[in-house]
Amino acid sequence: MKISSLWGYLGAGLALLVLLLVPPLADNHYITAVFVSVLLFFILAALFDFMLGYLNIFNFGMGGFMALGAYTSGLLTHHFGISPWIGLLAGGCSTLLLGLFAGVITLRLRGIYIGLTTLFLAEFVLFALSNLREYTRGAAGLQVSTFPDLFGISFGRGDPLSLYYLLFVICVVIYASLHFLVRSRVGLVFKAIRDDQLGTSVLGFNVVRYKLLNFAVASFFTGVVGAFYGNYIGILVPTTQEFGISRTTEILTIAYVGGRGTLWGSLLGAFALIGLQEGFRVIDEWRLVLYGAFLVFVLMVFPQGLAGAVKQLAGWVEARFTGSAQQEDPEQKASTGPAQDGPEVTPKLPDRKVP
Amino acid sequence: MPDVVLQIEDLQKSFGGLRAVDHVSFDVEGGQLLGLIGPNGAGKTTIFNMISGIYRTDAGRILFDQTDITNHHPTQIAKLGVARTFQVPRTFNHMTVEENLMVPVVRLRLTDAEASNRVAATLNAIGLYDMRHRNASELSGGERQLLQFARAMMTQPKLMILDEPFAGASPAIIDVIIERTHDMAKSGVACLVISHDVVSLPKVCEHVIVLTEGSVLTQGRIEDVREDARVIEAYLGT
Ligand SMILES: Nc1ncnc2c1ncn2[C@@H]1O[C@H](COP(=O)(O)OP(=O)(O)OP(=O)(O)O)[C@@H](O)[C@H]1O
Ligand SMILES: [Mg+2]
Repeated sequence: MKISSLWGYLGAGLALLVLLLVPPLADNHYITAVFVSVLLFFILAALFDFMLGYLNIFNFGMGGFMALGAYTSGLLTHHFGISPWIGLLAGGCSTLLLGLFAGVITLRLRGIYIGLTTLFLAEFVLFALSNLREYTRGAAGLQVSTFPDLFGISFGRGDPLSLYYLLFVICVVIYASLHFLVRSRVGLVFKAIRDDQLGTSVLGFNVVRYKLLNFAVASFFTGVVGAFYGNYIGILVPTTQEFGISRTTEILTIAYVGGRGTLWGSLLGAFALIGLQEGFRVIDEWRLVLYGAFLVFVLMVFPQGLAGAVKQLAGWVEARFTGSAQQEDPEQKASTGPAQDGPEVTPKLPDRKVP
Repeated sequence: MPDVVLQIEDLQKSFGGLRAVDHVSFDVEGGQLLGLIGPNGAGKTTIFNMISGIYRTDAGRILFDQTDITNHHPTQIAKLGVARTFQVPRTFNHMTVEENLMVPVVRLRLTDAEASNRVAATLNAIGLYDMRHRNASELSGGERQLLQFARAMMTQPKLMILDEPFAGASPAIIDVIIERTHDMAKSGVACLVISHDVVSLPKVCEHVIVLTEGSVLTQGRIEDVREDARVIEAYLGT
């Protein structure tokens, strides 16, 4: 076994231990709530990075996509008595459809255009949810019922620990799927497209189809997370704070702080930012300012995010203890390039000068 | 009659008022090695970009294997069996050399073992095996030429179009590219090669087409063409 993959197992083991053991040992509603936030932001940031870090797709509508998932589940239960368990999948499916629609109309474009279109779509979703008051109750708020017991376990809001573990399972499933995809042949093509779209096309790959696949997977899971979130908070209000651009900005910040193109970096990002936010509760309205400052700080000190810093540290320790030269991880490099290039804004393929 | 792989018929392309390609026609047969030469700005790369679907044609037809591929999408054209390299080498720079060659193999739907064998064989054949874990961005210009050449080769094309494959490459790398190109031609692949390299090109092609200001000036055996007064004039100017 290569030493560098040992680090991966070590890190994963440590993360699992902390996530599984700290909330029950602390046995404290506040700590559990903080850990729920960490997991929620971790998985949303990982989904964001799955699109941005691997295919340069900016989804500025994450918040609205979540809202659709949450409301799908909430409304199905409210109006048709459908179980919130089924609502998790239904939320995923409706968001998948929104994602496919957004994808079909935007994925031929690049960078900033996709970002703008997803943002407009998400704003439209929020607008519709606020205005269809007969169904959604608009700003008055939609009551969301709790998950019914499963295997004799209660998932009521009085049992935050079981809700936490439910979210944990959801996160493991999503993370494992993304990890598997990124490591597969499909993931290889994702990275090729990120590096050079035209270069990938002339090898016979349908770039739009790969982007659509990536976007559809991310949208589905975003909807599932949204549906869980709705059940967790218990009342849905279609505000911008909850589901608008500021939510997306938080997710984006965590993804960047974690390190672009490294899914697990989002966990570090989530711990860092949620921790920071909890530490400075008093300045709640200034949250985004704090986020911005932290983002700038981290990216100046560690251009590859916290994940890059951890990799450097691991490499350094490895070199110290084995006396060998630092092994370079290709993925670490992968996260530098596109991040520095920024969003690609070259609009049309045909006019591109190919010397 | 040998099978014609590529037929270019009366191809035209303008950029604004500039006629970059003007009524160009020629054929390439299976296994043939054909050179495309001409001064800077003659329209060589523009023809390649139209063949591979990157530029739209203004008029004319491109037939590949008897199928009309004019203005088809680059992906479709590549799928039919046209592979290319670029004048300024394009590689996947945030991926390793090995991964660069893995990408085209994805489309061949091989098992993991077959895929890695094939990549390893190619890495050996082009002499980049020891560099397989390096990032493509760390390669020299010549090595990147070689890598994009090998990457195109991995798609198992019927037609290979090479835009300045020798530019910036050392004699050792040039020899590898020449050798592999001959191997491909022997197995029936048609190759169309743009080059300004008067030493290397004759080692690849016997026949060349000379292009100036978007039109075919002449074509024929490379020795004959070199003696042609019009060709000399086109290259040196008047
Ligand atoms: N995308 C483009 N937009 C505008 N003009 C272009 C474009 N591509 C090529 N041209 C013009 O078309 C003409 C032919 O260019 P092309 O690149 O085909 O030349 P070339 O024969 O490949 O030259 P070189 O040997 O220098 O590579 C040039 O005058 C060039 O400026
Ligand atoms: Mg050229």
